[in-house]
Amino acid sequence: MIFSGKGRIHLNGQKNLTDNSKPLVFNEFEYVYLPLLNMNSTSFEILVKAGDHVKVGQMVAFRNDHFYVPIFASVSGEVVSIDKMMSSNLIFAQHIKIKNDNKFERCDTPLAMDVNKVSKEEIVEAIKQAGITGCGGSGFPTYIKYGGNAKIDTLLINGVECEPFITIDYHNMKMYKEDLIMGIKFLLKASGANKCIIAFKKGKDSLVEALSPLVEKEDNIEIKLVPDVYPMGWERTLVKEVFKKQFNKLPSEVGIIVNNSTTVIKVGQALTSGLSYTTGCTISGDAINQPTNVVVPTGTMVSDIISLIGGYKKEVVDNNTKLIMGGPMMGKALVNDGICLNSYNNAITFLFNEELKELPCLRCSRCVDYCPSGLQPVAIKNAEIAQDVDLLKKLSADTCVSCGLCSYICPSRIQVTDYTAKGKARVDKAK
Amino acid sequence: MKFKFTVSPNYNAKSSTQTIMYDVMFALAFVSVCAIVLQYSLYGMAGAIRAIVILAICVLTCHLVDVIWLKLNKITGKDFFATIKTNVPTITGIILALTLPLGSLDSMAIYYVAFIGSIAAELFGKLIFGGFGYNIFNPAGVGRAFVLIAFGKYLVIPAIDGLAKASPLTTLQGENGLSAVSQTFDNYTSLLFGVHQGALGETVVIALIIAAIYLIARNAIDWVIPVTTMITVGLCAMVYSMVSTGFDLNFIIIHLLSGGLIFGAVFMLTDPVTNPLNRQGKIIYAIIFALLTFLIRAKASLPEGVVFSILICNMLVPMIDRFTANVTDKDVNKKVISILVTLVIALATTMLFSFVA
Repeated sequence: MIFSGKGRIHLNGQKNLTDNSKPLVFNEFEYVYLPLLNMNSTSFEILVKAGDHVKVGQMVAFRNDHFYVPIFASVSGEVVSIDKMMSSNLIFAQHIKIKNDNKFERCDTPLAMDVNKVSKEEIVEAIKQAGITGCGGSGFPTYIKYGGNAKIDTLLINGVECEPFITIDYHNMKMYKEDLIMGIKFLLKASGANKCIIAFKKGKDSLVEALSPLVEKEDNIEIKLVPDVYPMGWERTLVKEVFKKQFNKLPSEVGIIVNNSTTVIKVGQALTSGLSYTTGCTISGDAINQPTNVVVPTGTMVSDIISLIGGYKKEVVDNNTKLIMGGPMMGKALVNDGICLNSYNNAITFLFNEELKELPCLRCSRCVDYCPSGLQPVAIKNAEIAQDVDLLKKLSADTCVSCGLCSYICPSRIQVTDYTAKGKARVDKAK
Repeated sequence: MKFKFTVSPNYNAKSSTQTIMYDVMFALAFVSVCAIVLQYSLYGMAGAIRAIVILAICVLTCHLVDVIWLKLNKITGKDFFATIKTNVPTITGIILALTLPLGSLDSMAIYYVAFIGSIAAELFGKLIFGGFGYNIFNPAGVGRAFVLIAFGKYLVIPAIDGLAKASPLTTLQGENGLSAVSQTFDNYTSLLFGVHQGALGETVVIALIIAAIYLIARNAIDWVIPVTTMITVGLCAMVYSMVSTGFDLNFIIIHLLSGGLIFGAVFMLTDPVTNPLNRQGKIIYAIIFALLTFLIRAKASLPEGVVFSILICNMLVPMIDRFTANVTDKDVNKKVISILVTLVIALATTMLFSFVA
């Protein structure tokens, strides 16, 4: 449209760093630290105490505010302590420290549900009890999406991974293709949708090859290839691209539920053979020797993983490298590597820090051109500096999704996204 | 191990303010070369040398003003060169030079005019506001308006040997008006290749169009501004001619292709620093510019109105930005209506003025 500009851009994905290597599985860590954190909530009820012996799959805590999210032990062994630590969200949260006895005794039995026999309610309840959260990085509890009353006709599986460096969803879809299809079948039933579309980027031929035999057998599942642009993985952009529809708050307004592909795989596993309580994670970037995908027990510390996969490059010294939880566009930079992986984390990116010199704003309006939400980031930035709440509201600063494109594109290297985030907080506060 | 904390995103595009400026400089250099060649073909070696000297004076003076300003502000060392690089005095200088005429061939006056104009442009157009990025008016526009008012009589366009071709817009304002123009400018190729009187850079229409396409392709300027400007000026000229003399294609084409319109619309009006932020604002801005330019040309005592229209439109930018503070992909109908209303007002104003003798 002539007024809103492009709203998307092709990024240098650098996915070839980890595209061809199969994920490495590591289990034998001495300790794991289960973060009691979901989205931004640290409100959890803890069911174990120091000294208890836990088994894999045993519920150790659950979120007890407006959402219900159980946390399960990912290794068997003794609970050492429950302490506050810095989490991957930059929030201090309780972490349950478990000493791994390397036996991986399980305490749960597979549900082994049959998709033809279970009811919608049973599926949603099972997803809730399995504690499955959105694996696109948000951690939004999946069962909520299926509890609504809106009429759903399509299920959209988001395997786009538009962030640079990340390839774990791609590998997961290739490795667990049967679980993916099984998860889709369950979710189709749970949502009442009659059609499912699996969306991922163009150019992933091996994935198309792997999935098509399975997809062809099902008459209500199809594959849709989308352009390799950012932020194609954002549900609003993806729904617009695939269905040419726009919605206000939730995609269910237009009869669509969007789920990340890894989430669907987990649903498939949880309802049939049982979850493995691991976190798949892309570890990439230019500051480590061996970029790779890893599969580790949930709660593993980042520094432990790095030492196993080849460590940092020798140029890395204090304060010249960035540790980014997630991809470089939306991920948050953390100040040390003593951070533990949550079940929904999907990437860690290590980049050498480049000092950026901020220049005066040229008013080139590229941020306006590329904003996928149709906002005017530079105007929001100026309104935020002037602390003008009315103007911020007029500019709809609260609908920013912090995709980071405005800072990415800014030729003057102004941290526009940071200002818009502050503006958003200011509007939220004024409400 | 300590890691560096930065706010997200941690990824940046390659293009920078510098690369945008280099693109603009490249386009301006191309236009300058074409202008020098044109002056050579019209006035011989003397014309070409005059053009080169004017360009050199403007660019060097702008740099000089920058250097003195930074020295007075005690900015030294690394910051000194970085600030000069950001301030891009080269662009201001070249744009100002290209809007100046050659001056009468036996006088040196135009060189002093160029010198003083450059000081006005760089100092009063840019530096006193705080340098690049903070200026309200187009710097070269400020310089050009200053010399037009202060040294109008030296801004002479020399007569071309053998071709009695005055500036088409000047002829249009003369007693016989359009009929005189139509007689002298029956040939549009002369308009396209600039074989008539005008300022250095504004007459080589072909070169300007190529430069515009290059800048749009490199994403250095937004295409809506020049396109809207040309369409609106065309519409205004059409309405005007229909009311006063009956539809006349010549009149429209002369207005579109002559004078500083294309140069202004491509290089001065699109200066991002003095532009509205979003597309809706940019279109409204371009329509207002086109209307003012046309009215000044048709009804005021000046044959040319581009510079003053640009400066007036620059003043309107904060207001336009305030008016268009909204979400760009919502309420599209409202935006279309706001643009149509502006356009209708522009055409109605033109019509109103065309009744005035």
